[in-house]
Amino acid sequence: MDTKFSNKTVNLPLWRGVAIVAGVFAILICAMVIVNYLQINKVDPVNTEVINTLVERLNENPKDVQLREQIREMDLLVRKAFFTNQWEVRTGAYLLLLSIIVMIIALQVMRMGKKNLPSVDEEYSQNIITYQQNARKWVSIGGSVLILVTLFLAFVTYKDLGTRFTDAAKIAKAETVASEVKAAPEVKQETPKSVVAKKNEVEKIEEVKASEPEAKKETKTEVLEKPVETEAVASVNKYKGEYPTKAMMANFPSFRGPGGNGIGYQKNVPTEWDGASGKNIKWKVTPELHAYNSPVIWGDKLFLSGADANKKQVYCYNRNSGKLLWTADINNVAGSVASPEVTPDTGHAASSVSTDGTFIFAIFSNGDLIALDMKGKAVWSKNLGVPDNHYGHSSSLVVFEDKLIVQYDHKKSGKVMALSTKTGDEVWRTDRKVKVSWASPVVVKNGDRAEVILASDPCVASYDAQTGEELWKLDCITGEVGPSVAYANGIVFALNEYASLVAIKTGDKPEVLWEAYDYLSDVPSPVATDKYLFVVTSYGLVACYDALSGELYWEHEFDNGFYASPILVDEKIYLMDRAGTMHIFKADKVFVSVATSKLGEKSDSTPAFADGHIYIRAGKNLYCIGK
Amino acid sequence: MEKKGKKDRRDFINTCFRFAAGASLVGVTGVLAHKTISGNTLWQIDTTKCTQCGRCATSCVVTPSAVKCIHVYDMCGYCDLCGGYLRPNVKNITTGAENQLCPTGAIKRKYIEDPFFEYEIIEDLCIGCGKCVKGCGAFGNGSLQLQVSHDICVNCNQCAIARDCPSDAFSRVPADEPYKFSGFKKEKKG
Repeated sequence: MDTKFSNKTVNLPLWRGVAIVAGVFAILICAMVIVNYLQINKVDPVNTEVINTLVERLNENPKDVQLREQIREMDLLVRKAFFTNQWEVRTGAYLLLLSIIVMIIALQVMRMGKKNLPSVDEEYSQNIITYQQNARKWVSIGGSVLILVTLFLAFVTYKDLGTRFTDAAKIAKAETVASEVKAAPEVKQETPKSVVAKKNEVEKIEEVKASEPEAKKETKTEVLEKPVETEAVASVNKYKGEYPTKAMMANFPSFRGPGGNGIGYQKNVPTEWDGASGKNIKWKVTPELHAYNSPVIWGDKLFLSGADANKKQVYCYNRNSGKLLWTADINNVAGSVASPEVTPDTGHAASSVSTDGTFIFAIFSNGDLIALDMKGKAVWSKNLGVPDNHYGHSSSLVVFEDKLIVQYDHKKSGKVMALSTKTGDEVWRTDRKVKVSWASPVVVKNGDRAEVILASDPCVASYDAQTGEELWKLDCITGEVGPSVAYANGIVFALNEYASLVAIKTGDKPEVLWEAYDYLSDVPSPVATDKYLFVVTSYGLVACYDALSGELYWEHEFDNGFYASPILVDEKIYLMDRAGTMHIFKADKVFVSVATSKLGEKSDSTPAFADGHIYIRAGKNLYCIGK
Repeated sequence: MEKKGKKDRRDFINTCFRFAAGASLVGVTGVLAHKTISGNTLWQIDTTKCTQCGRCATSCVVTPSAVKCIHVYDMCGYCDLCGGYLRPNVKNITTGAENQLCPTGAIKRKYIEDPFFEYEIIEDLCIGCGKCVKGCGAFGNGSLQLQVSHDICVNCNQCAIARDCPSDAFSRVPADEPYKFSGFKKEKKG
């Protein structure tokens, strides 16, 4: 052979050097690109928590020029870091590609420069049949392995497939549970025992607080095994009972008090305490799992829940001593699935528990709903289906007579339902065409009706608490609704940030009495009296309006924002700010501060009240204020 | 003696195969023609379904995300207090970093005349987090909207954002109508 190329001599050491340099360069670049990529993921401009915290501080102290400069510098730094890293990754990738190409060219030139004659392997030619057999065998094995790996990866990564399996499992489980519940005479056998226990509990409370008519009421509900529907049909929409009941008023049975309307009926509530010195701090305990829900009270017992992605618990404390009476681990809920992804500021147990003095009801982020007896034993449980809610489910529960009211407005479907407190069976359910809501139901007696009032984009709507029939609806609210409504004197007040504050005169034809746009809330709920409406904002401003006319009486700016809802107790408003300071002021036409008491720990939960005591969930602790 | 017109078995099989081959050819041509006529499809966001959860910024295989905020000027109110530009509860309406909602400073605010301001999206800086879209939708007219930018999108078979989208707002749209934003112009066209 005598070609022009083959006669050329190749400078092998040179090309070897080029290949080595290009290879080393490629490795270095590769390492740097990986490090940079990891850094990009760390420097996430969307979640600059430090800056957000500084901005919050600036909101509290708007004249702090130094802080403002610090925010600007940090903002610039974060953005520079993010975009520089992106540029570095991009440039690095090109350099990596270039260096690999150079290396391949150098290696190829080296290979071509080596003038080796092709050698014939004698052994190969002799064993050609065995060699071919082996080749076929390994090609088959390799192919099979690849197919198996592909199928495995497809199974693991294909989310829909996973969901279908889970859904199918859920349906199957739900069906078995339904059949179990139907054929459950044994469970009913146990009921009398628990009823005795309940009776004892009720009697204890009655001794202290409740009056006789209430005791009759309790026994009436015990006797009622199935009369819910018949009674509802008989009385049509007229509600002759009292709501909230005296027993409820003597306690603090749900989020924002009886019926969830933001009003407590307790007396001698303390106004002064100090977390640092321990003044008037009766006890302090730390529940095992943290959550943003609020405690509820019945008799001497205080209940609250906690959860993380793997564990769900309900706690019962003796409210006088702070002693943990029991912890109920929530397991084995039929149809339960893994907890969905929730945002850290919502958590897996944002909904407060509720009690009727006989059972405690709790709901969690994955839709697990459970009823416990006063000793922490599960009475019934079910999974309502994972709520499709991008922050996490947070609507609290509320009890109306022997029905547990559940607001379940999420992306796939909105509904409100009443479940039997004794069995968990659905008493009524009304589907709602609304968007996701984080607000909680409020149950009130409005004239001769017991109404469940809900707020959710696009409407405020009322449902008959006995039958679930929609009584009225008014399209007047938009956005991601967090605050629950307030009710007083036949008027419902609803608001949401970026929407408006609306006062609705209720009735078959509801009408907007007045609207305001100045002070709106995205988390805390308002509270109302017959005369006044108090609106609390998450950025620290509180406003008082005339409930009838909407005239703004006063506005007051506090140093810190609010997530906890205000509670009206003993003609005073108790309002916990996010830094852990309770602001107590008169529920009046002019702003009169009664006291400001510091707990010293951050709090986003609404406090619970008992005669002479306040119970506050702050940080990871639960505090009892009182003597 | 053979009868005229009667095929033997071999001829018959031969004819069958020929017909089968012809039919396959026509079928393949038909499918290809249909695909050519119907054209390609692209991923796009339905703005009426989008909830601005922020996953567009993190789930896209392209960094920064191929999802960008677009400004439908027809719908904009040119507000001074712009819910898409300013953080909620700002004390002073200025362009200071402490007041801006956009984490990457991708919105440019320009004075027009009292009290109107124009807001322009700097696409290179936008990471598609949707914070401004949420703010504008809640407080303003909803003129800021998230859309997949097709000059950046690599049009994966299975879009990573579509898979993670909690509101099923992603769908494939015909390549000749690649955008799905809402707005006055769009409505008039429709």
